[in-house]
Amino acid sequence: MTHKVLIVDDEPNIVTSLEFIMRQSGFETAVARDGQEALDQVEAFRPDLVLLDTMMPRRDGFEVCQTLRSQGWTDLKIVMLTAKGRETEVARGLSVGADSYVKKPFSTRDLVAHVAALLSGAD
Amino acid sequence: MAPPGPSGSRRAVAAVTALVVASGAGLVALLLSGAGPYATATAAVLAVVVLVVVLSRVFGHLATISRRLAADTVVIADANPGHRLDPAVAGDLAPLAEAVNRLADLRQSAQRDVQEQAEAARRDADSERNLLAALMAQLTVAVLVCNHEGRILLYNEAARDLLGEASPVGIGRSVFGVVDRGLVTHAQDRLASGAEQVYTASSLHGDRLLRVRVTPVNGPGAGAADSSGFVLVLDDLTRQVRAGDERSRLLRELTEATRATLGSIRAAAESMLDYPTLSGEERQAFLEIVRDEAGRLGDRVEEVAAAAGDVGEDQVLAEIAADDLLALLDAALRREGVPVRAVAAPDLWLRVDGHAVARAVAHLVLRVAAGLDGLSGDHGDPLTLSVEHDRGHARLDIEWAGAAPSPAEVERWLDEPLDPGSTITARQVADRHGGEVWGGERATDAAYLRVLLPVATSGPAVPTPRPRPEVASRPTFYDFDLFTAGPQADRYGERRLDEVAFTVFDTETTGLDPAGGDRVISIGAVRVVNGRVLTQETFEQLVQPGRSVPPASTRIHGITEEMLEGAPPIEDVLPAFARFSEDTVLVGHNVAFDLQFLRMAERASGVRFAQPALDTLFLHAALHPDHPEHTLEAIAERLGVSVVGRHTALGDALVTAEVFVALQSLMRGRGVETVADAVALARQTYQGRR
Repeated sequence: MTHKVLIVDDEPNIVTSLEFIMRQSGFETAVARDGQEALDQVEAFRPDLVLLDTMMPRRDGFEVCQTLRSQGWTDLKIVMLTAKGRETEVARGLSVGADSYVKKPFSTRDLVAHVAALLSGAD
Repeated sequence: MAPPGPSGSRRAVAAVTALVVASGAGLVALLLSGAGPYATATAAVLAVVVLVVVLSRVFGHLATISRRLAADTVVIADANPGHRLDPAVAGDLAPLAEAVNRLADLRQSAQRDVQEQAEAARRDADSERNLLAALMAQLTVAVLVCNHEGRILLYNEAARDLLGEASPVGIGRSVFGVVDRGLVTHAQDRLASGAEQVYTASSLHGDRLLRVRVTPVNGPGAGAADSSGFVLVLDDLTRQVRAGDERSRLLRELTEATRATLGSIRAAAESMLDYPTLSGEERQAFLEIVRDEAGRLGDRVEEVAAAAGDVGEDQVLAEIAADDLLALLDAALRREGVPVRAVAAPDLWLRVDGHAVARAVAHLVLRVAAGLDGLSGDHGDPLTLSVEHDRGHARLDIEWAGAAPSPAEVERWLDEPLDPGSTITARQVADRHGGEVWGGERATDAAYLRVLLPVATSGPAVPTPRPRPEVASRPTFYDFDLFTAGPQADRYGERRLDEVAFTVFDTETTGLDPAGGDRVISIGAVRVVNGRVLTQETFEQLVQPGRSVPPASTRIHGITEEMLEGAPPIEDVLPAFARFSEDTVLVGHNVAFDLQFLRMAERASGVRFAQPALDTLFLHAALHPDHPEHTLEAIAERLGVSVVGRHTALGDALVTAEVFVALQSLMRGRGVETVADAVALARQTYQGRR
């Protein structure tokens, strides 16, 4: 079965790359440009995993993550992507329910491997 | 009532004799002429009435004279040794007045001898104090010396410069108007426990960040617990911290922008390398990304490089144990009436500005508490505060039973100023520490607000004092007698007059009718502490009345409309005056008049003068009911106060202050010891007059 990955980031350039590599790796993809759209897309697209940027307009990644978990999306894998990376932010991300926390810039190959590992564990 | 002339009583006695003789003769004539019994009775009654009236006037007048002589004698004894009785108004009692005056002469010369000896002794003590004062003035750090209850005994120019007008520093003022009480009591507790002799912490002061070092002054006992007071040494860290904040912000922005850009570039490049089946179009898109992102990164680096030039040295943070941080918080919250249960992990040290963090967290707790019902309820403390280790951080949790705040709500709390007069927010405090704050919900109707903070990794921070510009001015203002002042009663009423600070003030106005549109145009005030008029601690401010100044009033106070141009309105002046008169009893001559004007502006200014006010007019009238004149000039003259600069607000305030000091010693002679006693004394006359 093809896994679905939702890419949430307000930076179009990183979205282009993320979308490309996820498709090339055999995942079905959808894109959300901000926090609110992400919540809507989770509902509509029903992804297995969300690549979630922390810094976005309207609702930031922390809030989206916290909201998703409180809405009962417990099986959904959430990988937070951030350009921040202060230790306290990583701790915050994990404690609001993220499965992992990846700092930008990241290796696309490592990211694909990481996503694949998370999803295979879910099966 | 005009005083009778010198021989008035003698004349009156002669008149009585004549009247008695005359009426007696009339009575005899009537009886002899065989007039009717009715006429005879009428004549008899008339004669007795005349006799009674005349006698009571004579003896009543005598009683008034003796009361005045007695009152003047008390003035000689208690207030003005140079005052003398006037034999000319004493009538038959003139020899007594002269005898009292002679006694007063003898006493005055004896007093002079004693004074000279005392003077010599005091000169020695003064030279030691001056040495200390000169030493204090040379210090470039701000120094405040307080007694055990926090009243300022001594301060230097550097302290006044540092703390500025926002919170006036003055002898006898509470130091807690300047430095947070929680910080000092916390330091005192630590000192009392014998842990250290010196404590370093930092404190928010308006927009400023101060580092305060507290050292006890040893009392009769040996340990810090017996301290009779403490010395505060203050450093201004604002500039350092601001610079640190700015540098952190630049660094963070650069880092974040760089990561984002590199992320895009790397992803695009790796996509091209790893997927050779890319179409020409796709490849073109990736190349454009690489080019655009690289350009953006270059621009960003230039921006940051330009801004970084302004950034100064790093901030200085102290280490604080988690339980000390919670103690600070607990104290702050108890003052606000919000009880909490506090739990701290042992041996957890944080590298933070403990005081600022406590204030920020207290702010958040108060916001949470505001949304809860029944805070003072019987079912224990509804809020729990805990600090624990969490993956290399200190995790401070505020927990309660109830709903979690929305993220937007938390954001709003973070952006609110911590204090009315301050621009510092909880977010700034969090950012400065690299902290994170967010709220959430636990499983069953339990919510939390979490603050992640860095833990201490190295040894205690080494303080690096910032050099201050040389302060050339002398002295320092001290009153060591306050060291021996007793514990301060909470309410003014029970406080002794010699332990209370007074603000003696006067206003000039456009006229006499506040309800009819008259307004204050000038306020002058001076502080009186421990029976001394502190002429260096004055308040003087012209006020824009927002209306014309009648020429008739200008003739009295000399203030013209031109002089008031650019003067601040009463709404701005009253808060400053309220700060100046904070924690003091107000005093004025006919003070009700001035208060009426101030009360009218209270609401618009957002201040309230809730302290008691004493009136020198009523006090004098109560002490000397038989003196006809209670004008400021007349009282000043009787009490030996020289009058200068009358009819400026400050000039009148200074004269009133001297008068008040003289009245204080007269009151002592009458057993008037507390503020409540004085208020009651003044009220006697006030009510008598109504």
